Parts: sequence; structure tokens; C-alpha cells
Amino acid sequence: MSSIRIEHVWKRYGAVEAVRDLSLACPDGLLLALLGPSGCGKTSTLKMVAGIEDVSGGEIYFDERPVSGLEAPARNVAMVFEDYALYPHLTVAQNIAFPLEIRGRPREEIRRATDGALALLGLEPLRDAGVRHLSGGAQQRVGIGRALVRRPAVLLFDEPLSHLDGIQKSGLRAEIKRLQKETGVTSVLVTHDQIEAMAMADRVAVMDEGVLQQVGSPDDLYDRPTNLFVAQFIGEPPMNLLPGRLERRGEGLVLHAASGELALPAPATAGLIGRGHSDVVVGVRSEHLRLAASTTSGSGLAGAVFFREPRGDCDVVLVEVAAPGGARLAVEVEPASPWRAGDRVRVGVAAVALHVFDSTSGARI
Amino acid sequence: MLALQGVERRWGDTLALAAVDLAVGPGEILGITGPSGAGKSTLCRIVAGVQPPSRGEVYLDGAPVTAVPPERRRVAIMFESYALYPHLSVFDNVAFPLRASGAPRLGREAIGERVRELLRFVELAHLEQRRPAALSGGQRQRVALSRALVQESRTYVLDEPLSHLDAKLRHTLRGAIRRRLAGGPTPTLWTSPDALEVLAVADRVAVLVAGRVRQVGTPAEIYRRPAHVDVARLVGDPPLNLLEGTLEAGAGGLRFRHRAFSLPLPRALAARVGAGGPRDRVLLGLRPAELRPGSGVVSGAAGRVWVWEPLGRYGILSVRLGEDLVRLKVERGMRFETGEPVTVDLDAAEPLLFDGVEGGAL
Repeated sequence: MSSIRIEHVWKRYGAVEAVRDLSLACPDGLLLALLGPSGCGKTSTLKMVAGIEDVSGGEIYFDERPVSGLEAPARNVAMVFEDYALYPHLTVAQNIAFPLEIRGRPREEIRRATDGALALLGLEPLRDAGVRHLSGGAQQRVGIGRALVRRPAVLLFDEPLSHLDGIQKSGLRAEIKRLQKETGVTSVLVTHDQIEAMAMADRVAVMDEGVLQQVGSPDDLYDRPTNLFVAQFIGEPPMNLLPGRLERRGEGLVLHAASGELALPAPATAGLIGRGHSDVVVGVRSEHLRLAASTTSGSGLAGAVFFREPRGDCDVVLVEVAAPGGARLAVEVEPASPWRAGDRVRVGVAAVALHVFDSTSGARI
Repeated sequence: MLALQGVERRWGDTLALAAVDLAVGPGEILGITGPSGAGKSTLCRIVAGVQPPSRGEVYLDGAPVTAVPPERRRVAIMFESYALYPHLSVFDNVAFPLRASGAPRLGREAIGERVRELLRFVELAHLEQRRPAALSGGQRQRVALSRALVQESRTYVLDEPLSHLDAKLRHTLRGAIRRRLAGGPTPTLWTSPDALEVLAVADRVAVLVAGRVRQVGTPAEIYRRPAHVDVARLVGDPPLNLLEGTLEAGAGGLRFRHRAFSLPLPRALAARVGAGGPRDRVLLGLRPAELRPGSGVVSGAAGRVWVWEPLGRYGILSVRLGEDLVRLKVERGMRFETGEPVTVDLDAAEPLLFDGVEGGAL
């Protein structure tokens, strides 16, 4: 097992800069997720760590050893693929044993390692089954067993859950995380799905257009997104964003948005008062907005319920703000609350965490 | 008004749909969810008339239409496979049903207006001259959706209308389509393997498993009172926990006994299942959001943390209880390490019970 350190790495394909000056580390034994939309550079980064692609600049270290000059086989990395890439004519046990067979390891070692992997993944009942007719989730467990069996220094997951349906996906998601914790193999996960990254990773690196936007724990990303891109990418429904001008009023601040005036409670804005920020974007998560019945004199943004989405434990109400250019705001409500499509409401902000961004640079203020 | 009566479909010995009875009123959206292979698409194709049922009857506005060919039914179907015309532009694909023989005659301008309104609605107005081959999967899906919604039909059949769209667009379009259809004159069928999607958009939801309708109800009924374990396994985020155990009569009434804990049944539930007395095989359903980490006053179960998944707003804590895995939906601000001991507090749980053999709710 090794730590991974990526230092000032670039990847160029002709004139296209797929990865730009990336510096990032994954400590020994942790799982690092590379998260972003397609084309953000996450897969190119994974391929450079694996040794499938060369770096165009910079260096990658496993522990203190530079590896950019090493071919893929010399790096001792194993990969789990999106489409499983199993050998269809082999059984579950034969697929798992395969990497050891081709290396000509002794019989006894192969048997012990394969049995260990089968047990770890709960695949013993399927050991002699052909892989072709297994469910997607079971096939991917075989793929993971095959990657783990030769005790790699680094394990790489390339969108391992994309082909699974909802329940298989959440089941395998938890299972991969548990396996990673149990075996302690340093791992890198590539995904475009923020829920997968948050659920599985110790550290999440958010990328966009080849550039690292933020790296941190799942809670860091949710609580303190460093810019508008991360703010919108993490969380479901996406964070509500209100562009406008900030002005001091009494103890707190008021946001003058296109859709009206919104009072921002004092504790959440304490650090902003007196710093003279005018053009900003205020971000509020759906659980931090509150709905009240509309009255002519009430405070908050006036609007109407556009759509109410039942989600079981809570519901999400989409409010269409009345003013011209008015945004649609997602507000989390209790299932028992009365709001229906068409109701006239006012939206206010609860006295909790707000996110304020510079409207030009997008950076967190 | 759309109605299905005793609709059945066999493929040789395989029963793809078993005696389906459903009714959808004007302006109502009936969601259909179930795992892949449950029969959702077969049902859609039978309503549209592109596939005959083996038995049973489809009614539109009270009249049987099973013998009416698809082009004369005036059912607008959006196929899961999109079925776009590759040689036609986006505009002409959407206009196609308006120009078809048998459609109400519309002038060139009226057609243009209708088509463009739909393309704006699905955010594709800028691509009206493109051919399908030059579109992404999600864009093709929106063309197919427009082509269904552009028609004035007697029923809309939307087979997985949003499955290939990104999360943000899917979220916006759900609300927009619902607003467009709800309260209008036309019934709608809307299928998705994602139960959360149909529970979000539909007035009522039918849960289809292996060709059988396991439950039809409002989203709240499906969430709160799943009629069968098959339904319980599909709904909720994460889905209901299901634990096998026995029912025993004790001093305080009926108790559910699991290898790792014992839970007194609330009075109303005990009264409902009490007539049957003790049972040696039942499934207890526990909602993830009603379980807490920490020892309960009335009842708790000791286990170990299997895995902790922080998701921002909340986290999912999976706990190993004996042979079972129980999931808790935990408010944020907590942290757990794999392997550490933890107690699951059951005090706030409103348990559900299912027959351990047949799977029906007790």
C-alpha cells in the first residue's frame, strides 16, 4: 500500500489541456474521489495514475517514489472498470484467480488468495457459476475480487456503479466503502455522481475543465463550497442561488435581488458586515429556506408554489418567485405541511449557514 | 378516462402481465414503477395498441378499444427507445403526428406554433433543424417527449420519459410536465424504474412486480403503508429495512423477536395482527429515518457499524445486527468508524409487519 501524490501534473492532447497543473494527494489507506462532469479531467487523471496515459508535465509519486517513468505493470495498481470487463467463459472463481494464474503464482497461494477474496465479497455460493448470467451488482463484485486478489498498492475505480440500477447501486456503494476500510488499500474513485463520491470517499476532489476546484472531506464540500461551481455540484436539490446587492440594515444584512428583498439573519452574516461587498450571489440550501403564507406586508420573497415533490421523509416544494426575472427556489418542507401547487407564499431564510460568493469570480467570500 | 380490465399478456409459458385492472381519470397522472422486466413497457404498448393483450380489455372514455388499431386510437405514446425518424429534423419529428393522416387538420402556422412551443418547453428550441444522429441521448429523449406531448390525444403514455437526462434537467422537467398535464382533460401513464420519480410526479402510483400489480395508491399511501414486501423494497431513500423474526405473546402484548433484539408492538399494530396469535415467520419493516444511533429507552439493538456514508444533508449509517444489515438515516454532524459498536434506538420507529411467506402487509 502506498500514498499517492500528484504534483503539478498536466495532460495535453494536442492543443487540448485536459488536466491543468493538478496537485493533489491521497494519504495511505484512504479513498480519494475525483468528481466532476464529463470532460473535467477526472478520467485522464486516473489513467495517468494507472500508467495507461503519460503525464505531459509534472510528476506522480507512490510514497516517495516517482512513477511517471514506470509502465503500468510495474506500478502494482489494479483497476475496477465501469463495464466489469470479466472473462465471459470463465467462472467466478476463475475470473478472480486470473491475475495470479497469468503471473504463474504457486497453486496453493492462488487457492488461498481466491478463497479469501470470495469470502470477503460474499461470493462463495457463486464460486463455480459462470459470470455471464449474474446480476450487474454480482458481476462488479467479481471485478472487485479480481482487483483485490493480487494485493495491489493502489486500487482504481472507474465509474464502478454507473451500469447498476438504484438498489443494487446503493448496496454496492456501501460494500465498496466497507471493503476499502477493511483492506486499507489506497484507492482512487472516478465518478460524475456527487452522491457516490460523498458516500464513499474520505476526500473528494471536485474538478471542472481540467482544473481542481476544491478538495476536502464530504462535509467540507457541503458546508463550505469554495466557489459557485462546487456549490451547485454538491447537494440535491442543487443549492438555490440568488444574485443581488448586499446592504446593511440594523444588525443584519439585506439582499436586494431581482426578485425582491431578502433579510439575511445576523448570525449567518456576521463575518460579512462592513466588508463592503456589493455584487454577490447568495447561496441557500433547500433545508435552510422557510415558507410562510403570503400576506401583503410579510417579509421574504413573494411567489407561488409551482410543484410539490413528495420524497417520503421530507418533501421539496419548488416556488416560482413572482417578480420579473424571478428564480425558482427549492424549499424542503415536512410531509405534514399544507403547501399545494398554486398556493401564494413568502420565502425566508432560517438563521443558519449562508454561502456568499463574488458575482464576478464566483469565489466564496 | 383510461381503464384496463383483466389485461394479461403471455409469451409462451411466461406471464408478462397478470390480470391488470387499472383506471386513470381525466387530468390524472398514474405512475407505474417496478424493477426492469416487471412488465411496465408491455403495459404501455398494450394501451397504445402496438401490442395486443392475450386477454382482457382496454377502454378509452368508456368504449372498448382493444380491437382498434394504434393509428386510430389517438393514444400518444413516448417509447422508451425514442423511435425517432433518423432522416427527419427535430422539428419534423415533433410535427410528424400533427401531419399524419387521421390527425385533426392544422395549418402550417398552427403546426409551427405548436411544435416550437413544445421545443421551448423541453429546452431544445435552438436545435430544431438538427437530425437525431447529431443529438445526445438526453436530447433525443426530449424530442421523443415533445412528439408525444404535441398531440391532442385521449391518453398520454410516457415510458421512462426522463431516464437519460441529467439530475438538474430531470428535476425541472418533472415539475413542468406535471404542471402541463395535471388538471387537463387527458389521463397519463408515466413509468419509471426509479420509484422516487413516479412518487414525485404522479397522483397515484401502481407498483408492478413480475407482471402483478402489488399496490395502487397515493404517494403517501405507498410510502406510509406498503401493501407488500415487494413494494417496501422499492420505495424510500434508502428503502425500508426488512428484518426476519418471530411474533411472540408476552406480558405486555405481542413482541417481535429478532436474533439481536426484541420489540414490543405498538397497540394498534398488535390489535391488527393479534387475531393470528404468535407466528414463526414475519418480516419487520423499519423506516431508516425513524431509527437513531444511541440506546433506546423502550427498545434498542446492539450491533456494529458496517459503514457510514455522509451525504451532506444527512448520512446513511449501516449497522450489522446479527446476520442483518440495518440502515439509519442520520441527521448531519455525526461521525462513525467501521467496526465500532453502536446501538440502534428503536423508540421512534413506527414498525410495519409483513407475512414472512406470502409477503403481504399484516
